[in-house]
Amino acid sequence: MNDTTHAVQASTIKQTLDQLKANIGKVIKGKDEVIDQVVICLIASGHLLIEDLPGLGKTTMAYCLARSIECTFSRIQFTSDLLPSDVIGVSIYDESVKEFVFKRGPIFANILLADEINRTTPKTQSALLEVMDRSKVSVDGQTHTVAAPFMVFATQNPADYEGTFPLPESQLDRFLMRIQMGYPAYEKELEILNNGLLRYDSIQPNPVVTRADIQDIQRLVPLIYVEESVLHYILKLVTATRMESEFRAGVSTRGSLSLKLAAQAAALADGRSFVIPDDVGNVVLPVFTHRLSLHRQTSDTLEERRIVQSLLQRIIDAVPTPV
Amino acid sequence: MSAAIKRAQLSYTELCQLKWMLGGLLTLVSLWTLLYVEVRSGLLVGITGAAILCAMAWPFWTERIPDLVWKFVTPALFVIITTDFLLSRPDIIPPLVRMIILLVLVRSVQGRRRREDLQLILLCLFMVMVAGVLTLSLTFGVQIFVFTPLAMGLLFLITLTENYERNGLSPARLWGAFRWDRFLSRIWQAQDFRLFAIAAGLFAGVMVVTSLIFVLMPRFRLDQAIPFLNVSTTRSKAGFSDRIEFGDVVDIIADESIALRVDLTRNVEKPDSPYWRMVVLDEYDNGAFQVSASARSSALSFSRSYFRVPDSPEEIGKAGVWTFYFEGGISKFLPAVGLLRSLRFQNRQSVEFNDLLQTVNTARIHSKVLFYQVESLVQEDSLPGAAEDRNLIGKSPLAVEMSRSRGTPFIPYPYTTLVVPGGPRNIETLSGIVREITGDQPLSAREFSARATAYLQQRHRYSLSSTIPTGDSDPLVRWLDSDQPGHCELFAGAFVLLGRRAGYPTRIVTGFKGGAWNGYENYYMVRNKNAHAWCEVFDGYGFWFRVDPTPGLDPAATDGTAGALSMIDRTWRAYLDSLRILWYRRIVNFNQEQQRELAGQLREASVGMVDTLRAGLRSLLASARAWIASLWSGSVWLLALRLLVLMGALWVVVRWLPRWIARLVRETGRRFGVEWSSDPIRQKAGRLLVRFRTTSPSRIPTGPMPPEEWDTVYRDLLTLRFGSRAQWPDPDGVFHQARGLLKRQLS
Repeated sequence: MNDTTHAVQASTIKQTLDQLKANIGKVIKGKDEVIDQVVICLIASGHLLIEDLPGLGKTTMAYCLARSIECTFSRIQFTSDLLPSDVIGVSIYDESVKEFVFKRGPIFANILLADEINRTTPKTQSALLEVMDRSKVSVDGQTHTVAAPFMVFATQNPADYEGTFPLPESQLDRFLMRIQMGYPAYEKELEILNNGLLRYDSIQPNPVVTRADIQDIQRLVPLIYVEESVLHYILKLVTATRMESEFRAGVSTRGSLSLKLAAQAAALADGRSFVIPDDVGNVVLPVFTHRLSLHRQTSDTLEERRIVQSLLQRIIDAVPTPV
Repeated sequence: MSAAIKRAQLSYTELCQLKWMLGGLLTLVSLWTLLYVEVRSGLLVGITGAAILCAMAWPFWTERIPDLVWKFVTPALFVIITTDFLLSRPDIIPPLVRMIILLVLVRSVQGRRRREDLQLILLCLFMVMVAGVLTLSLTFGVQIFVFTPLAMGLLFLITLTENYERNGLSPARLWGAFRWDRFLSRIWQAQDFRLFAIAAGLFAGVMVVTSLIFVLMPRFRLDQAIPFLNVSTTRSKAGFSDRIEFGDVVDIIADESIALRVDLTRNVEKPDSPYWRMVVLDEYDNGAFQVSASARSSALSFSRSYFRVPDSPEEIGKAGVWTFYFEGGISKFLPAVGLLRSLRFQNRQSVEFNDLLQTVNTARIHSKVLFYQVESLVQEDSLPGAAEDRNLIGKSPLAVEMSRSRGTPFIPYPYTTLVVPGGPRNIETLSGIVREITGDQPLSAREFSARATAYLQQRHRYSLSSTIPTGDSDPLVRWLDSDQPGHCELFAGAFVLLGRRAGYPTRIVTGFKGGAWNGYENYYMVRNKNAHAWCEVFDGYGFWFRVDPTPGLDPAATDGTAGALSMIDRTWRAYLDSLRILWYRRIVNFNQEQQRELAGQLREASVGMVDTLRAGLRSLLASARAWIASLWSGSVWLLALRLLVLMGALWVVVRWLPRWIARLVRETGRRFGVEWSSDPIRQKAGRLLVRFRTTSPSRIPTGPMPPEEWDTVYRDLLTLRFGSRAQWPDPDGVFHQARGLLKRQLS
């Protein structure tokens, strides 16, 4: 495929993705921006960390996405006694065939909701995160490939950190984005009250995009053209985080690659086969926020997030946009 | 689809920090101006400067000053300033300057909002103006040149932060997390070349308007309009006062600074070794020479800007005009050369002209440079004496007993020029030496002078450090009787005594000898080290001729810049000094006459320029015509070859010149941290995108221009700017469409 082909495909893909967003939007009311970010994350083959209070539609979002793209969905409620094998699967002895057979765990789904990921032990967390990174599971010397597309929706409750195992920065880095759902607007919530269902599995959105389409789009994202000045822009943003003294450490190289990938996905979602600086600017906050932490520790996580975001916003304002 | 351009913007806190720094710089520049004003405030200026530097380098300490301190500052200042004014009476300027410095100090280290910032600018402006009026130096020009953009920048920042303050905002902790590297990096990021260009344009506009106002405004002197600014703050150098003791002139010789600059009109023949007469001392009194009371009393006083010497010959006026720029704080006696006909000052002056001694002095010592013009005739080495001097013919020397306790008896001028110290030892020694010089033969004054000079130079050598032997007799006689080395004052003083003893009326003159000729702007530069003393001897026929008995090993003759023969100075110091004379000529000394002259020059220059341009174009066209015609000469093959070369050159220019320019622009941009796109098409698309974004699509009318067209062109521009080349639409078509849309939109 050459660049001209991409340009033609990009406009078609925009229509497809618009349909997908509209389909999810029928259920998740008034959260267009969040839906945009979820779709960007999906087509960039990334994983998503949602940090918000319970009951704001995180599970429903993941479920709707899975249904809309003809994908399997599974949900794991992470608890402190959850074992890696509960996530990945386990080899058990099958009497009928006289050998150990690998019983796949819930991770073998296209869309996996890892609910309250910080409630489980680091051992189980790292088992999940390894799969997220490599899209493969190795058990008893055998490698099993997880389904494609594969996307993890991990959730954390920012208000309740009692008895949790916070994810270390190195593992947070594996998530492409971190977003917040936020409360819906008054009118939208009224609409939810009128039509909404309490249980997500009783919602049955129709598939609008095939799994294969999503895979095709995912393959196209890294091929989206990024002009040299935009690459410089990305690098300047990254460098600025490294120079900001309030941060304990700046964004890693993986972070800069993630920003580029997310910007490419955003460009494609907008129907373009090239990235413009606005694409970068629109995704830099969700891509960078969880990769940065402050020197001065605060007991209030939400407060820390807010400070990080405001510092990041200052950096975005400070770095000149290419013209 | 909007892709708004986000340039780095400074936050309110950062703006306040920048404002603080600019305010500090402004204050430092203003304090710098005060260093040139002798108001005895050096220590206070130093402390204030140090405090401001600290407040800029480590600004957080200013926030740690307790509020209680500020509460006591105002009453304390009131007490200090009032006391200073009372103690400094009747001087006004020094305590006034100190008051401003104190106020500036407080304003500079205390947190400032709009009101305080404006106060600071006003105080700084006052400081600069006071210093400017008091010094009128070239440094003032440089300072005001630096001060103006700083003040403009500060005012701009005050305006920017005003909106925040109006909304009740105030930076809670301005310097809490301040770090210089981050601050500078933010300033660097937020720099906007358009803003710089506008600021530079504005500054240039201010300078042009200021220059125009300066050129066109009626001339007046601020220090005369405000009398208290016309206060002398300096004292004369002892060597140029109306009484000098041995060593006074030598003290001045140690000073390298320039004392005098002299412009000559074209018709003046430049003397090789000018003697700049300042003070003529006729009376000898106990080892010191002074202007006698009777000579002083005969001076003519006037208070106007022009003075014509009564009964002066008309031909002197034709000899030429000398413009003197005499530095302040040297003497109230004005240097002049030769016989004077008229004196012209820039403004009214209280001046005394001494007809007997041909000297001019002002009523007070000017603290800043004084400009005056003289019509003067420089004769070889003599000046016509006054009518009274004829009484000296045939007179014998007057031996007068001099005693510090009893004083010297009154002797009127011109007989003071015949007085020698009395007492047998003095008379015996002087008579012995005179006999040795003359050999008891009658000699003319000039012949005697030559022999006496030779005698002195043979017996004493030149040295700046000399010792007078101890004894009861007159100190000069003692020196004469010894073989001690001496300096110009001793040689001249000794010569005076010998001349008088021999019966030749003699007086001593102090001033400057020689000077360097500035090769850049063609004027004399006379330094303080050129200070000199020499003699004038009455020739018995009505003329005083100059005798310089000091040997050639005179410092004024050894350094190459001055001396017996003036050198043309083309060193860097001379170049810097030529800037100063330009400042004096064009700025400070700018009067109505020069206004008219400048207008005439401008007219001539513009007419000349048009003529030159026209002639140049004609010549260029003629050359081009001739060259094209020459192409057609020769064989067909030669013609074809020439055409080929021409086309090739044109192709190279068309093909490579834009690329070369683009590369130059890109590299220059990178040097300044701006990332320009390397491709000219991308650059062009970028520029059009900027115009698209600043033109709001919401203003697009629904009628003739459908929004879809706008969107399409916008997307195409985006593709040209950020897309890959393979996807590019036809750039020329897109640019044409875009320009058309913008034109329609703006119309």
